[in-house]
Amino acid sequence: MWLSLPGFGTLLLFGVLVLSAYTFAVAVMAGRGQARLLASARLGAYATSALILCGVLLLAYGFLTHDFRIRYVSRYSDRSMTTTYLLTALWGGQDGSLLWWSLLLAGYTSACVRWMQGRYRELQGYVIATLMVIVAFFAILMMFAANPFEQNMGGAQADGSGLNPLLQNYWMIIHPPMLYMGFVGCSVPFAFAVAALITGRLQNEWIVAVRKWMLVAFLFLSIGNVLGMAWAYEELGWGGFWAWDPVENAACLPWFTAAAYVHSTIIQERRNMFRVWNVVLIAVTFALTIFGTFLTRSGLIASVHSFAKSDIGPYFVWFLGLAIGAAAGLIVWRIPLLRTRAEVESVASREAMFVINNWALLGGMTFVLVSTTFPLFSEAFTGQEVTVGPPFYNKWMSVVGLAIFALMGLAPLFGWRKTSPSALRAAFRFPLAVAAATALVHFTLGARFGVPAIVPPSSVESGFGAQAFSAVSQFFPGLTVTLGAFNIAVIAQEFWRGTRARMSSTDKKGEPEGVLLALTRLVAKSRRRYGGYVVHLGVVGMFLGFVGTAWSVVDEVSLMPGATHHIAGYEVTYRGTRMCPGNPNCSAEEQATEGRRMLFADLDVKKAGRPYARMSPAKFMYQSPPQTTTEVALRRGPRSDLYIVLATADPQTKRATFNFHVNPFVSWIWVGLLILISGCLVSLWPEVGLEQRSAWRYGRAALAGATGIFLTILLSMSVSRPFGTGWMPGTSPADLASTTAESTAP
Amino acid sequence: MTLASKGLVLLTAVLALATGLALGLPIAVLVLAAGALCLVIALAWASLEQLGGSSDLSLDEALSLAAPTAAEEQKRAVLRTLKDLEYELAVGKITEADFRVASTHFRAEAKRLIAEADSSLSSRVELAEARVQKFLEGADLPAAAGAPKKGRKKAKAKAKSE
Repeated sequence: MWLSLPGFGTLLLFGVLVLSAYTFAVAVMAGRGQARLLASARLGAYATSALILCGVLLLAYGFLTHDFRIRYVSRYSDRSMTTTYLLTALWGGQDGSLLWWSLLLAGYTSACVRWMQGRYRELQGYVIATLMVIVAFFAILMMFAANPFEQNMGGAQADGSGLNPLLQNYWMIIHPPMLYMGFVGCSVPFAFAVAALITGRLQNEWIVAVRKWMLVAFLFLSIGNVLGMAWAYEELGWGGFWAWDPVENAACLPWFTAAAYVHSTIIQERRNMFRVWNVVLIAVTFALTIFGTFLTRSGLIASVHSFAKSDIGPYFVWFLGLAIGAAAGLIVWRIPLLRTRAEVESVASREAMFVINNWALLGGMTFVLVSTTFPLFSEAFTGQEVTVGPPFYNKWMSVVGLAIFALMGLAPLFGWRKTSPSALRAAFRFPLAVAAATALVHFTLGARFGVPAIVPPSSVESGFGAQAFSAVSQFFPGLTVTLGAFNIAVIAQEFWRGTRARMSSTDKKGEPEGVLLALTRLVAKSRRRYGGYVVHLGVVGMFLGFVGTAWSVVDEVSLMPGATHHIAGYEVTYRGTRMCPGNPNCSAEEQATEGRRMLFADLDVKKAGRPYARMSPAKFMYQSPPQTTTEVALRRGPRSDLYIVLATADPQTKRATFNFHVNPFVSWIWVGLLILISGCLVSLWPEVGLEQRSAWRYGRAALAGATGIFLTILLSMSVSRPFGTGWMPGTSPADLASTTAESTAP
Repeated sequence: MTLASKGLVLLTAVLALATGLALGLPIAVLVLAAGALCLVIALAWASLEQLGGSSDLSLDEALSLAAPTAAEEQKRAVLRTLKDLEYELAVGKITEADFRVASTHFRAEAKRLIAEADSSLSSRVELAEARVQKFLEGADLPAAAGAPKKGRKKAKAKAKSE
């Protein structure tokens, strides 16, 4: 008897469980590297990954052919959706996103198995076994609690319910997969940690190699979180990019510990210290990814992001308990092997700076974790659900953030073990001079340019402590800019000192190099170090974007057509509203739109007396599912963004109420991300010279990665013009972003 | 992955591209799914054959057995650390005295690891040499018998001169 598509899909999920269980058993039998069993386990891991891919492709086929027998397809798509959004719907809901998660895990598993070939033979079996346990967990979850192939009880529907309009945004095509890549990526270091603890092979070299995998996870977590900010900024229409929503918090928790780990492994490599700490960091990072997923998917804490309340919470709690229990048990068992005698010898040392940096990052993580889960605890202990809002987070996280920002600049100036006073003086001279000059200029001239160094808080709480904090916190904008300048000076100095040392050494060898050549070869030879500095530079860009919120100008104004409003150097004239399709002033694309009605309010903007832009914030009214969304009109700039939201509009009188936001330096967050990505790529670039045999392998991997990124960009570009006009070469994402947001000039 | 699996991946990609162009995206996706399923069967079959010992190791798998030992990998990490140390001395981040202390420690560690790696390999090298010798003696290669010996003599002479 032939199986239906939903039935066959469910069978595949069973197959994944069976195959992962088989691979787990063989991998455990392979133990410390028995060749034949290991080869069998490796093939089993590849087969499991291919089976998950088959499941995802089958679900994609269901979406593309509108197979509404499948409940998930009917819930998250309809016949009016474009191909791109049909494919996006794969991870638009709970069940499908778990399958997608499994696919990414399968990808990591295959990459890891491939990478391990010729390395770490003693660990391979247990690494594969651990990864298979995680795969099996997701298979169980899908089979018993969230089956993406489950059939509709009442049979196939004529049409589906459609994807949530808020998710029909190009950032949402890239943001969830990137974040999942970050979350799932933490599984590989965890698998290595478990394998090392089981085998007792706990020397330093494996943890250093695993650092690359954690760096990959860190990179994707950074991209995912920042793209989430971009989505919130453009789509939610409240003028900001980070609201400390529980799901946002859950996404940034592993970022803190991953960042702590990539720094503290350097200490282990160099000083053979913190071996227990590093293994704990790996385990905590993995546990936080599971906890974050649990928080997002259980519906335990209310959030704008979270999926519908479901039954999968207990499964996650059990798995989290298993992971923490197993890791803790193994660490306690191996404590005698992990202990070392080395100690921090001086506060004036790089390891001391890294330790403080680790504590600051862990402090930030703990603060966010406790604050996010506080409603649960308050309800459990007092019977009342007490939530903490964004001002609370902003207040305390600004302190933690500044501490991390300062340490980021300080650490590179110190040497290992202890730094002599003369070396410290030499290292600090230039960065301190730059920071002092920046502070002087900012404090004296900042206010004149609309970016004062001192910004009094908007509200002051009563009590001595709160008032004292307010008195101090008003200096935070100036302090952030000063620390930013300090960091940039440190990075520049590090590059210069390295280049100079290389030039001097090559001079002595009689093979002199110019500045550019020496710099290029320096970076090529020490990619990890200089890639790290480039990442720091990206973080500086992001901090500039964050501090810009201190100088934001916000105004809510109700205007009649023809009226003009002035805000922060912009002159905005309201021209009137139009409903599309139907209005003769609508463009051809707008007239051709199906599935929604769009109310635009047109505004002509002048800057410094010159025409600057036609901006058209809007309200979109969707038919399926019936929902109204606010579409922001956004004009980006390196100095500031003009961000306009249509709050209300009366179609009769044409009176409209607008929220105007002038947000300084927000674009630097996105620029900072690009710099951070480049830095991570420099750090991750393999040493092909040392591994000639694998050069082709890296070439193929690079080609596959580049193709993946290109296809993702193509996919996202194809919906930034929502009416099927397609991507046009030469159109930048930023242009397309503003086009979507503005949508409209007649 | 086996050669058959690699061929299957290539064939699926070509078929998917062709059907995608001729019949549209949904069919191409279905072809890819079918290809993935065939790959699962091929890989699972190969895995079972390995498990039962009824097939030889692939070249890739055999090469992977030459993975460096733990001591070898630790040695590489220590040598990298030594390189870093020299850089820090060059840019003035550590003093000569600190460099000497750290450098002595890491050099001693590197020596220990090199000795450990050599001793762990020596028994295997002897075993491999014995097996090669046995193979050559047992091989029925009268015409070419002299060639490898010459080659071996040449290699030995070269190794000595180096």
